[in-house]
Amino acid sequence: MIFLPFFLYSNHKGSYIMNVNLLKKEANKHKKFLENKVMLNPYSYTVNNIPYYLVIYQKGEKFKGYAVISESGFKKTDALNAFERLIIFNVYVNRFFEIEESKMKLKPETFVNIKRVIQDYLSHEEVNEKLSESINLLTNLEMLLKDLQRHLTEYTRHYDNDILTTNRIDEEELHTLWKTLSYVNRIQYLQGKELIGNFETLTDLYKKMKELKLDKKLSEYDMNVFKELTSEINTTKRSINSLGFEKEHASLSEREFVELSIKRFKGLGEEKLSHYKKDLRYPKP
Amino acid sequence: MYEKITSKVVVTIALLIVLFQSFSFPIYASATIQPWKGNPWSGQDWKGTPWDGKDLQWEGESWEGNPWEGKSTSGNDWEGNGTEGQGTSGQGTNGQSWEGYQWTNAPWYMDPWLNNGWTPNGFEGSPFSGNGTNGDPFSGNGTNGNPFSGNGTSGNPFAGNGTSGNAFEGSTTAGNGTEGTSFEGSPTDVKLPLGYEVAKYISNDIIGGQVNLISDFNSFDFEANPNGFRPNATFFSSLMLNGVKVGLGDKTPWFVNGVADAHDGVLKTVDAVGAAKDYKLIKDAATLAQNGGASRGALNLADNADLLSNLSKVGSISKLNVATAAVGAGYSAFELGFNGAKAYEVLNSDVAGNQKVSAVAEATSSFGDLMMNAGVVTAAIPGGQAAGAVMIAGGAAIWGASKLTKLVADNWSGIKKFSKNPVKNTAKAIGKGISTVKGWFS
Repeated sequence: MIFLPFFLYSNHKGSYIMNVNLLKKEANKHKKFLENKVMLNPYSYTVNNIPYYLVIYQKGEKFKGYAVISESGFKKTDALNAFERLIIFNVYVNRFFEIEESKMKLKPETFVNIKRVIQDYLSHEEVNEKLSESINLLTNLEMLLKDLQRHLTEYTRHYDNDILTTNRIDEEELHTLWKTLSYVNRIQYLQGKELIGNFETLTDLYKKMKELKLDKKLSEYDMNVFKELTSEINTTKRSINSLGFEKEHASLSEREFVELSIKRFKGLGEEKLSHYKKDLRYPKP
Repeated sequence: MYEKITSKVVVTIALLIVLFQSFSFPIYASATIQPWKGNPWSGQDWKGTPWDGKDLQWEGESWEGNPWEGKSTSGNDWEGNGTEGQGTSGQGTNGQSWEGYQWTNAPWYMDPWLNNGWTPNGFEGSPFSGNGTNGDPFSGNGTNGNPFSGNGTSGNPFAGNGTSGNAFEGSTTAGNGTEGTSFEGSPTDVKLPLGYEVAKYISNDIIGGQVNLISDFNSFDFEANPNGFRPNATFFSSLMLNGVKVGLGDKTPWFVNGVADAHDGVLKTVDAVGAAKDYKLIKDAATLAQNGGASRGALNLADNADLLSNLSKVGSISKLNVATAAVGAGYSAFELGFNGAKAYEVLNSDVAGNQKVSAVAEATSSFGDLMMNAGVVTAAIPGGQAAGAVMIAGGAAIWGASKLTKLVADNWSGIKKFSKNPVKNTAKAIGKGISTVKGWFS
C-alpha cells in the first residue's frame, strides 16, 4: 500500500492543492543566518480567495520568528489578517496536543480492574462498607477519564483526517477547537474535584486492599498506578487552581458552559495577539 | 531521574558480571530454532522383510525400436538395449503405504510439545493404514510411440514381490512411538524457541531503541547542553541486558535473568507512575505559549533540511514509536497466545497448584505487555487511521517495521557513534529474524 503525502490527497474543502515547492521558495526568502528550521504549518487560512500559510523559523529548537506567505496574489493587509487567525489556531492546537499526550497515558481500564477485584472479593465475603463505597468513586473516575479521552480522541482524529488532508482552517475550525478545549477543561476540573474530594477514600481503599492482599490480584502496572494516585494530592490541588473559570461556572449546564468558555478562549487569544505580532518578521505589522 | 539512576545501576551491575560476553556471541549464529529436547522416539523398530533385489536379473527383451533421429541428437546414442523390457510393471509398492492425513496443524514451533507430544492434532486419523499406491501405476504403455515405440517395458523384471511383503503392515507408528509418553516433562517446561527471542530482541530492543533514540535526539536542546547528545540509559541497558540473554541462551546465569527481569519491571513501573502523575496534573487549555512552535504535521522546508528534521514535526517524531509499539504488540499477542495456550493446558493438567498460578501469571504478564503496547498505538492513532501525520515525511510515506528499519538504516548514521554498526546489522538481521516471525503470524 502506498501512502501519499497529505498535500496530494483530494481536498474536499476545495480544489486547491498545496504547492510545497513554491511555498518552500517563499518561506526560505525570510530565513535568517544559522536558522536551520523553516517550519511550514500544514494548514492555511484564506483571505480574499488567497490561502496564507504560517511559517515558523527556528535555530535548533529555539524559536526565532514568524512569517506569513502565499503561493501567489500576496497582499500585506490580507496576510496580517490571516496571521491573527493562523497564530491563534497554532497556539491553541499545540496546547491541545500537549494535553492529549499526557492525558491519554492512563487507561480507564485501570479503574475497571481495581473495581473488579473489589467486586470479586465482596461477592465472597461479608459486606465491607468502605469497599462498597469505593465502587462508586472508581466508577466516577473511570467515566470521567473515558469522557475526556473521547473528546481528545475525536479531535485528534479530526485534525489528522481532515485538517491534515484539506490543509485548510477557517472560523469553523477555530470554533471546533475551542469547543473541544472547553470540554477538556471542564472534565479536567471535574476529575480534579472528584480526586481531591475523595482522596481519603481512595487512600483508605488502597490500604484496605493491601491489608486484604487484594493488591496481589492486580497487575503490577495497575498496582503502581494506584499507588502513585494515592501517594499525594498536592499536585492536583495546586494545578486545579488554574481552572478558576471552570470552578466559577461549574453550576452551568454543559451547553451553557461551553458557549461561555468559547468566548473566553477567543478573548484570551486576541489579548495575546500583540505579543505574537512582535515576532512576525514578514509582513511587518 | 529515577529512571536514569535505576537503569544506570542495573546496567553497571550487569556490565560487571557478564556484559562483555554478550558482544562476543554472534547474535545471528544463535538465531536458530532451539533443538527439540524431549525424549527420543521410542517406538518399535520396523520389522518388515526388507526388500532384497540382489538376485533379480534383468530379463526383458532388448529394445529394438528405431533410434531417435532428431536434429540435435541424431547420433546412435540410444541404440543399445538399455530400456528393454517392462521395467516397472510389477507391484512395486503393493503394500499398504501411507494414506493418512497431511500435517495440517500449526508448525511445531507454534505449538511445541504441548500435552502428550504429538497426539492432540498432529497425526490424528490412521496415518499409515491406507493403500496409497495400489493399482497398476506403471503397467501401461507409458512410452509407446516414437521414438521409443518398442516394447521397451514389456518384460517382468520387477514382477516379483520386492516390496509387497509386510513392509508397512506392522505397527511402526501405531505403537507407542508417538502416542506414548515421549514428552515426559511438565507442561510448564515449554519454552519459546530461541529464534523468537532473537527476533524480539532485534526488533524491540535494537530497532525500538534506535527509534526512541531518534526521538530524543530531535527534541534535544543542543544549545542548553553544549556537551552534546547522549542516549539515555534505558537504550543501553535494555539493549545489553537482553543481549546477554540472547547471546547466552539457556546458559544465561539466573542472576542475569533476574537483573533483566528487574530492569523490565523498573521500566514498567516508570510508565505506570508517569501515567498516574500526568493524570493528577491538571493542564489548563487556556494557558497559551509565549511563542508558537510549529503544529503537528508541519514540514521543515529549510534548504538544508533532511528527512529526519521533517519527521520531527510530523505529529512529533514520537509517533514513530507507534510503529515500534505495533511491532511490540504483535510480539505480545504472540506471547499471549502462546502463554495462554500453555496456561490452559496447565490448568487442565494435574500439576501442582503453584504451577497453575505461575502459568496464568505468565499469560497475564503477556497480556499486560500487549495492553501497554496497544495503549501507545491507540493513543497515537486515535482514529485508527493516521492520515498523513504519522506516515508522511518529506513526500514519502513510512509505515510498518520494515519501512521504519529502512528509514533508520538510510538516515541515521549518527547512531554508529554509540553502538557498533547496529543499523547494518539490524537490517541484515531483519531478513532473518523478522521474516521468521512474520511467518509465524501469517
